Amino acid sequence: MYKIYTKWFCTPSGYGAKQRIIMRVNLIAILFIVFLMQVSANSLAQKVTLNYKEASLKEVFNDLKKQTGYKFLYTHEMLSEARKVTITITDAPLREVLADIFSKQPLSFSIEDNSVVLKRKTLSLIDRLSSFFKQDSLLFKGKVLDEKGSPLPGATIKLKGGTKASVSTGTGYFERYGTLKSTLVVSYLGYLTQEISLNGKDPDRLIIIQLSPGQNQLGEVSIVSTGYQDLPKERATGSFELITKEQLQHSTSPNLLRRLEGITTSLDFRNDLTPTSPTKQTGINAKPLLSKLTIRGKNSLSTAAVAVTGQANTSGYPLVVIDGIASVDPLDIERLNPNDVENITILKDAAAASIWGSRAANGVIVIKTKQSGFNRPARISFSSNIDITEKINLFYKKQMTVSDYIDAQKYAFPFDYPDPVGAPDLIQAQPMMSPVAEILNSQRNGAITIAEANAQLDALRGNDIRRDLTKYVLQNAVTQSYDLGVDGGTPKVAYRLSAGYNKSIAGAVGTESNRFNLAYNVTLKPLKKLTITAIANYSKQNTTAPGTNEILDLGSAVAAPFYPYTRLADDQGNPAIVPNLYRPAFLDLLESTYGDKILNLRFKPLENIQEGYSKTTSYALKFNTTAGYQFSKDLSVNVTYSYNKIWSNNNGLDRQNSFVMRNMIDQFTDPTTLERHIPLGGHYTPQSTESDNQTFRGLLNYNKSWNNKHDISAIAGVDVAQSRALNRTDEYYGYNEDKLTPGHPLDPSYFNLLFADQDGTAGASIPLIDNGYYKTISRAYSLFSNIAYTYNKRYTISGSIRKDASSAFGIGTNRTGKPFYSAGLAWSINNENFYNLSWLPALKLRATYGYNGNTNPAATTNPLLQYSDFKEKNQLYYAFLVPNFVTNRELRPERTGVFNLGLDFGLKNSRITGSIEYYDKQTKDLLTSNLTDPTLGYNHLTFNTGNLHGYGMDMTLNSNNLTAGRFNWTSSFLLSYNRVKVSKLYVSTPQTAGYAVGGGGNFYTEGYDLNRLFAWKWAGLDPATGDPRVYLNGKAVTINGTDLNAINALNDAPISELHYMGSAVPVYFGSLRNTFTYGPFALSVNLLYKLGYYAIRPQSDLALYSSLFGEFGHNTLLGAEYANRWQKPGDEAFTNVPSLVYSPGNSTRDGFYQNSDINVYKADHIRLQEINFSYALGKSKWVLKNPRVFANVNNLGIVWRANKLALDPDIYDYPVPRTYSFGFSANF
Amino acid sequence: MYKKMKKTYRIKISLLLALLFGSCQKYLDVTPTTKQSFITTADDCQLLVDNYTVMNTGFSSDAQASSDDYFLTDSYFSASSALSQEDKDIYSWKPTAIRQLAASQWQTPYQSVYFTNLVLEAVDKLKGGTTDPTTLNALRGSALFYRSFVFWTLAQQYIKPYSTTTAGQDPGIPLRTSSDMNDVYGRGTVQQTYDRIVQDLQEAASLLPATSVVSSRPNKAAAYAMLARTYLSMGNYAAALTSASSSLAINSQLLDLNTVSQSSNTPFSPRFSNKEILFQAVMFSSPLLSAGSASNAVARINPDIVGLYESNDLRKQVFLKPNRTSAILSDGTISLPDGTYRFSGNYEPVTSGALFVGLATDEVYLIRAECYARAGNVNAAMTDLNTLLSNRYVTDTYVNMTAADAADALSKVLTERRKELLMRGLRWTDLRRLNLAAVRMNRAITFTGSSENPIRTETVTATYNLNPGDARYTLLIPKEVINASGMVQNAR
Repeated sequence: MYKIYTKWFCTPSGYGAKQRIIMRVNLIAILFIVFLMQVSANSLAQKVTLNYKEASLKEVFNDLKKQTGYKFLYTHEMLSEARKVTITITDAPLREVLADIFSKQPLSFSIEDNSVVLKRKTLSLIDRLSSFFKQDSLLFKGKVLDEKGSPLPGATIKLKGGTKASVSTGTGYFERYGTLKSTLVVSYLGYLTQEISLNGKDPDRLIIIQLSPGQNQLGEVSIVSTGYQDLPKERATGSFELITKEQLQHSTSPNLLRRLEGITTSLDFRNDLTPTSPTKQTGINAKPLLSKLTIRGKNSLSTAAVAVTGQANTSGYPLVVIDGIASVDPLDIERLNPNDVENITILKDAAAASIWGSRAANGVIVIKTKQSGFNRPARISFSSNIDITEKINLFYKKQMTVSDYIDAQKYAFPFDYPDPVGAPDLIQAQPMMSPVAEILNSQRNGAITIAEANAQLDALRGNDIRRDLTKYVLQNAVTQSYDLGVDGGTPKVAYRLSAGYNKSIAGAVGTESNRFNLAYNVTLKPLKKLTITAIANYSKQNTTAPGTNEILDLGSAVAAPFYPYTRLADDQGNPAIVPNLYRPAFLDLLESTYGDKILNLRFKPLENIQEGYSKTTSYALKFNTTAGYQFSKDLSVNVTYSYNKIWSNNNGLDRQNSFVMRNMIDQFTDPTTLERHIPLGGHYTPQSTESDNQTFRGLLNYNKSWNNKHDISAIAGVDVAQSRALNRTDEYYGYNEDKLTPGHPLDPSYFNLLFADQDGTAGASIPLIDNGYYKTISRAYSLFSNIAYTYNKRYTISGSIRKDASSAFGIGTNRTGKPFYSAGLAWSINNENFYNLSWLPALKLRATYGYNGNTNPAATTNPLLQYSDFKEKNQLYYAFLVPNFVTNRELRPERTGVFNLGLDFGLKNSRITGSIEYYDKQTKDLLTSNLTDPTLGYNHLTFNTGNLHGYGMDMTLNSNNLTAGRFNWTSSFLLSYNRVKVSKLYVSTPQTAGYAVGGGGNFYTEGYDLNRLFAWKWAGLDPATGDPRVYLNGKAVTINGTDLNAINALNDAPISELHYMGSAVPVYFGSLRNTFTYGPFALSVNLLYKLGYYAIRPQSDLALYSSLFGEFGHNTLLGAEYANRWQKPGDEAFTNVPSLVYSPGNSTRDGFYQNSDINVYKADHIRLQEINFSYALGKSKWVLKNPRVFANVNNLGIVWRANKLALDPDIYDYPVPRTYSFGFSANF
Repeated sequence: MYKKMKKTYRIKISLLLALLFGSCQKYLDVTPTTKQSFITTADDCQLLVDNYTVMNTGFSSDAQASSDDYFLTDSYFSASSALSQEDKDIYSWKPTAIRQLAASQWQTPYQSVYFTNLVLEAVDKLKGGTTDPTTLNALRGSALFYRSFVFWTLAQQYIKPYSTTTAGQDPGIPLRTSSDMNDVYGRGTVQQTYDRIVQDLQEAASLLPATSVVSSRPNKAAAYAMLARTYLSMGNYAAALTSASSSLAINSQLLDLNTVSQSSNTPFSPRFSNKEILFQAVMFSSPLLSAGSASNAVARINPDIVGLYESNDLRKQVFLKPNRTSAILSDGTISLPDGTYRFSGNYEPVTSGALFVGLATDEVYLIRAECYARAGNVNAAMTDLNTLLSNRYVTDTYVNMTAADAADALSKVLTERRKELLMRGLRWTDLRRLNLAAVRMNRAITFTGSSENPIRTETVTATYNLNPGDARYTLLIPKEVINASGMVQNAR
């Protein structure tokens, strides 16, 4: 508020004039501060007693205020220039005491009424002249601004070579005594350090210093956090990577995790696991992004099993710590408002992460949210942006033509329907035939002539469902974001309040979401040694998606009933009827027989998509409070309590008009009485989960420095945590939205169906979903300690230990947890006396070793029984076993030993700074799903399967390439090298070709990469039949799909019969960001690369005939290579595409072709990930401060790829479409 | 003052820590959810064995699929997308016919074995506790019964027919009797397999209650019936006779087919309403065995059997339904009966391949009749047969059968067995134990001419033969099992 005030009265008349005006305005401002500081006057005692040594002026004022009731009026800027006070005085008059104190200060005072008003001492002309001639101790004043031109409070300003430092105030203002020969060094966390020569500077003019953001500057006071403890990076032994809020601004994604891509080493986003198709991304099937992220490769693998009902097993995910509290819900990080984040530290090695013990094996992401500082004027910041994403390109997949597809269906017709399909009867449903088959059947039955049939077929050839989907279903995705933040602080209260709102429309109709975030953060200092921090966070998220039974799914857009030639709308754009489930002739019969006694069973996909929804609403409330008490200079204790509550509702509705409901209601209509057993209306399924997580922590901190040579920093603490959840599911048939009347209780008995279904089932009970009400609970208890000792700023040793006990391991196994420990060494070589490389002023070597664990609830020593909510067919309640949990008395928890070696360096003038780290990880007793003897009743189970060996390197290089006037060019190069191999397997699974090929599933191969790719050695096509052939013992073996002997011989062959292609995940990956600034313009371009790996061509590009045919087959378009298939002897000379065979459901022949080395390609690629442009409007005199506009383009596409097939290896289905963002931000 | 404060705080903190340490174990011993639990009570055990899907369905189907109860048309066999190459190999008795995956034939049945072992282990722990011993006995009896039922079904499919001379050497099936995944069980011998089944069934019969609330739960009558079936498959007719009598002494109810719909494709519905059923069990729904519908029939009944039913035998209408085909004739397409029949007598009310393979009193009557005949007790044999058949014919039209001698009686019983126990998962065992040859023919049925005078032509397109004692009477164990366990494969 103070800030606003001064600015409103500002007149633009040069810096000097401005300074004077500020002084005048100060008085008015002071009156406001009076209210802010809530200083009150109660007594008028004039005599005071003081006893202070090296105390701050503010401390003394507070004391005086108590003793006299006098108010002290000053600005924070004044106090920041004040010197320490040492005074011992008894029963002296106030004026005398004040005179004493102010004699040593650069301030003067006056007493007005009951107030002491402070003023800066103004230097007399003579003073100035004398100091000028002395060429010494000139008082230089200046302002530190960030890259946007906003004031940067808290920057450190030193004289080069000097020890004393000033800190910039809330307005970025600083003062520093110096000579005209000296150089100012200005540094700030996350910014490139600047040096400013004072030569020729006028002490009367403000020196404006604009800092530009930079990364991980060595030699600065970068503070990294383990979540328990903040450490100066220079004293850390472990592998920490710090990401600042400025770095996070490269993207406008509302998802914080997404913003980490491209700015960190060692984080690999497995984008090939995430569907791009907008119909696959929302609803209950959306998997948390955290599950697709690896930090230094995978160390633990079980993500398949569900640990506790309703909760996914998050073991194998990186651990996320938000404001010191380990988060339980993997979606927590996605709920955060990225604009509330101050910084993120990624913990990679044992010394950094093992403090998190049994959850640290996959790396830890520590997030700190923004807090305000004390004594900081209120500031309002605002930003808004809009992101527009193009439609996905359904034509990306290179597929056969629709006309070819129709011809293939013609070819298949006599096989699919060897017998003519006759008229339907009422007793049993007649399943749908493809429209092509209907035409051909009519022709065969003599209903139409060959010419008529061909004409009808030709009419279909021009259709393409992808065009209709693009037109009627896809849309541009739009996200709007708004953010507002207020922060500030008085001497005793620092606060920050922020609100954020996002609204998104997804890339397909019917899906939209929004999120609202509110964060409040306050730090209080009620007593001198007591600090209380409270963080309250509220978020609300809404998602609306089409109903879960909606089948208009782009992922299967070309699967039945949507044949590729299906039209979704007629020429006028009206929704068209598409055959679904039943033959139209059967529906004709039903309609003519039952008339309006039953519901219409025609299906219009474009209408159906509106006839249901799946709405998810989640509210998350987080409250986190820490009280810290400083017992002495060295010892403090923190007590933290965190409470996190999430309410989540998923309400699903299929309206009466949805196909699924019309079908169900009709089926449960009595064939004789036509009585409906399911009432008319919708099917409504409200599901809710209410969960809370509580953490209580006691933490002792000990920090001591002595003799300027020894530094000890230690913590020890205890964590007690509990998470609970209440889950509830209901369902109502006959649901009426308008009247809100849920249906009647259903009759559970067995009914005769109106007609038997395709399997001939003529009767059934009304299907019920798994509903009910249940609770889950898990508790954990941990003891931990971490200690670091630094000698002479050169040598640091560190150690940590943690012991975890958790109820998640299951009864009887809680007690077996071994402690996790780590040890580390760091050597700051540049601080050695002998070190004199002036071109390399920063050099530090680090080495650590330790153990991390992984709490994996996917296995217990005893099976877990789960009670069912409803009755079995035998009308009895029952229980089943939670999949994957069997009796295993030899179960052992897994442990990962991590060795890390790091080198940090910085060239002169920060020309190049960076670090290189090498690591080696050994995971013992890896708990993962692997093959077992099916005689157990399970053919794969989660158990101690083997050992892994992971190793790799992370490299960060930041360079300042060119500075010329207002132009500046910096680069940041990130490189990660990672390899994870299976060093030992305990299971006796035969290591045969059949299990290893394709690198699929749960099969691992000892001695090879964990994610590896084996392929058959392709031997060309059989010259006689066009069947695929692969080599076995040097001889070409033909696979015709029916000779199972040949296939078995191949599958049983040793692995040496396969072609080992290499790793199936990137071995080298990283990014290169170039940033160019010219005055207020900034442009940055980021390239991402993934190298050294292989991929199999996507199924959609291949001619795999088993998915082309079949009465109830997949009916998918094959790859465009279909046109080049083998058709006659001799073709094998120029094609590898097998001949067309009618082989529905027989994927074996296809599999050999698909998994041959000819279909494996080198997946290396470089992608232009983003281009960011910003312009700081730069007139700081405006009411609107530091307005900045920016525009980003994301996902520009691949700029180089090793494959010549134009394939994007890093996608699941379709390339991620481009996103254009435009935004604006400003402060008041 | 600060020092003093420090001390008190230190004491308080250490007190707090001590408190937390002390109650740590108790704090952690929570069940993860109210929906889940470790198996600790008799109720838990009962809920496990009441899991109908695991305990009563999914029994191996390849033995029935290998039997000569049915055939496929040429067009279905060669073109249907529902059949895998493996299905076709099994159907055509290829010497190399083998399942790659264990799931349908081996693993699912062994999963119920796993359930029973868990129950047996839990019951052992509960013994001597507060739980009523009758409850524990019933649970132990159930578990033993279910396990034996699985072992017997697997034995019919994967181990050689029982022969007193070679049973001690022929490899058996793994007799998994504990739940721990670290325990390894080899194949053992045929003798050990049958010994285990017999011993467990005898104990089950002594522990189980006489009746159960629903036929998915085993009872004493079912245990004796299963014992009779087992002895019969071992050729121990005397013991089979005693067991069958014990079963019938408890439950001998038969269902009069006159009370059953003749038009329905699933006449024995709803499930659990058929009073003949002693124990409800259903096999894996094999695509080979699905009845299908009139115009989309799959498994068609062997014409040799169709010809055996007399006109007043209700089973002809209740068990068999005529199939139709759309024939393209010179004057158009019409729907015609094609002369084949599909099975509609499934005691499990579905038309899919999920056939009833449980125990029912009709089978027990037939077992006893056979044993009487083999023992030379012609009258008793014919009495049992007549009791059964009087419930199968149109009311008041059945004439009691008589037999000239024991051989005649036996032959009559075996014929009735074929007609009554059609598609009940028993024919393969009968072929094995009776040392018979099996023949199967694929047929093509076509119509020519006009709708006035359609001419039906039936041609045999493929014939498959299985001679008595053929090694193929023992199927190959799924490859996945051999790979994962390293156990010996059956001979070819």
